[in-house]
Amino acid sequence: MTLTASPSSASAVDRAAFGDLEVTETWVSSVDYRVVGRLLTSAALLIGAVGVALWGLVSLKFDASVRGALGTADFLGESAAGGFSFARVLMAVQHGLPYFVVLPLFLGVATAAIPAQIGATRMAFPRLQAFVLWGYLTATAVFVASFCVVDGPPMINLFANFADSPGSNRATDVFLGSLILVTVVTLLGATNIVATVATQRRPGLRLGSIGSFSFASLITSGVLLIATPVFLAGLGLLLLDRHFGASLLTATGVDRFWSHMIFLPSRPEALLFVLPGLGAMIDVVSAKANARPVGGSLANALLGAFGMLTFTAWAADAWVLNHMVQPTSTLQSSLVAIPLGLLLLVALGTLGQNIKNLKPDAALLFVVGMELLVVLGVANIVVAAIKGVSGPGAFVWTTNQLAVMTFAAPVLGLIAAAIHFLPASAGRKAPAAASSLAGLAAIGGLAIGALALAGLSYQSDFDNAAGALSAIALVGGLLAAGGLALSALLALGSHRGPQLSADASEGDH
Amino acid sequence: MSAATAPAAVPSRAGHTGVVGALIAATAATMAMVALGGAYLAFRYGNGVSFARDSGMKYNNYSAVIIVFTLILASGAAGWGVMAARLENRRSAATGFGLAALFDLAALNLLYSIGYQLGFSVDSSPHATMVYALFVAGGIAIGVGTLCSLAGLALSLGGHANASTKYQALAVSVGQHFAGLAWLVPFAAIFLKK
Repeated sequence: MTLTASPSSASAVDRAAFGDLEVTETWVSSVDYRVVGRLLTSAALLIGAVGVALWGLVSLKFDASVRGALGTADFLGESAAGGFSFARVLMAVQHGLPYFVVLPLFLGVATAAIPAQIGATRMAFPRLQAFVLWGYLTATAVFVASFCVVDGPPMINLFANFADSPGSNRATDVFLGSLILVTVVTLLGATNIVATVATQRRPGLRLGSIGSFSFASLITSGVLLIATPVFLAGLGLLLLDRHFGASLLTATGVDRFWSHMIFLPSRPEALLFVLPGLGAMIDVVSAKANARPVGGSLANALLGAFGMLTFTAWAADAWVLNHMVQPTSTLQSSLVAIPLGLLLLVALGTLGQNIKNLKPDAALLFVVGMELLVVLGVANIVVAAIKGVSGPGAFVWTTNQLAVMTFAAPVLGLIAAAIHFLPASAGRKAPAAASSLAGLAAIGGLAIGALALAGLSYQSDFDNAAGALSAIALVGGLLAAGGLALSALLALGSHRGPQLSADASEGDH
Repeated sequence: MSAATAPAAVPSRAGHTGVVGALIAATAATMAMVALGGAYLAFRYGNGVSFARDSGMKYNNYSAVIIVFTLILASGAAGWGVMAARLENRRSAATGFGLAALFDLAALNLLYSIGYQLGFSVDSSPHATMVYALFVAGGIAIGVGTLCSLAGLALSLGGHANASTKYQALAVSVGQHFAGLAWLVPFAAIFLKK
């Protein structure tokens, strides 16, 4: 992995490589991979901060007294108090976090990091990646607009049985349109990443020898290109069905269709989100320990195996919402735990090579946070299997577990990559104090929120415990939102940090 | 550095970028078509689902087969355009891509004709919704093929289709070939197996 280009030399190389393509530093018109990647990363993190804050707010609905004040009997009851609806916010957050935060964040960090890591001076299609940025922002605006349409909220919840959705309206079309747009944009971004790694590598650099983050991004993009079109087809069917008031989705036995085409936890993406973070983990640990990863190319092989095993999610039968091992749902899909565990061992072994000279570092802090949340998620599965959850606790358990494994852990891994790669691609380094503060807030907030909700799901006297624990979850959500917002600002200003010293050739392993 | 001591040149991969990108995008789009076709077959023949065709449905098999042949002709014409571009024969390249675009438009017209004569609407039944979804997706794919052929035509007329830019012409023809492949999914699912 090489990240040694200085800003001035990189700029000169860019101008030579781009030929008649003008590279400007303006935010709006730039096709420079560093600018586009930086903007995409910070936009996704800012939207993530809003989403996490709302997630904490939604937790308040587990408190019976809050529900009573709002006049709704159950968690998902559609009631509005002063124009505010918990059900609508929950739906926005559930769909927004994976599709409008995790995927764009991955695309942003990969855009900024991969060309530098593979010795390229540009993405394969620079203008396409700029289109991805603006397409994503447009899709996000349309998504938010769908919840503001006057004739009511979208009555589609992709995370629940469609039979519960009482009807359709104009907002539903807008809502599904925003999801289709962000999916198309994701596919275009993934196409660009694969094409960049395939065609823009430094001459002589073999595919198996590229940095772990680039390799993980390649695998992630490859799996996305196979799995996400299926989701796109499902969304198209859904739009057709709802727009014309057809009866396809109320026909008998369509659970299987819903499960494999639309429902996130039984599609490969649910397991895939954490993969780029694992690649970043290997690179960050290797750079900070100043040592090559244990086992040489083993780490990349394990990342590849993880990516391939995500397809086992499609092996699940019809309906997996209530399975106890979210986000995996079958024995086959649980096999991803093998490369995951081995990758953690590789990371620990690499750190162990130079543990005495290890210095505290913000990127490393985020990596530890990601591992912590993954371990927390696995522990939650074990506890649930032993102790069991039922009643209202089951709903809390499922939604919390999905949020931890498909949002919180992947986002922390991607922020670690952002802190490690974004400043370095501009010849800078991340400000240590601010980055560490962001890490402590984000990790602390997410862990507090996850622990509070996990604890709530096991309470036999749910209503009594809900008041205090949902308030703690709210505090955790707000703290994490602060951490993500600070990370967004750091990503945005990553080209203005302190100069990377000549001897700090981090990441050359 | 003298020429004698210069390192051996490593072949660049950058020239293939457009073709690689087009192939990747075509693969992803084909996956979407395959998913729709798979869903259709699962709905019709899967365990616990199996909805039958509505009575009174009319399928114009003749037109569906003609679409297949039209798209094969379009792909052949696009290939002609690519070869002509390699040989730097600008007029011939423009003719090839122009014919491909015309064949695509003819296929779109036939597809519209089939849809018009179906005799049921999207919301008639679950089966009808699936059929329309496949037709719409097939229409979008052929539309993309048309745009690709028109891009090839523009390249040729603008004098850009020549040996040095042969990969651009090849990338454009990938889109055209995808349109032909994509139509095979609804054709096989709806018309071949009854």
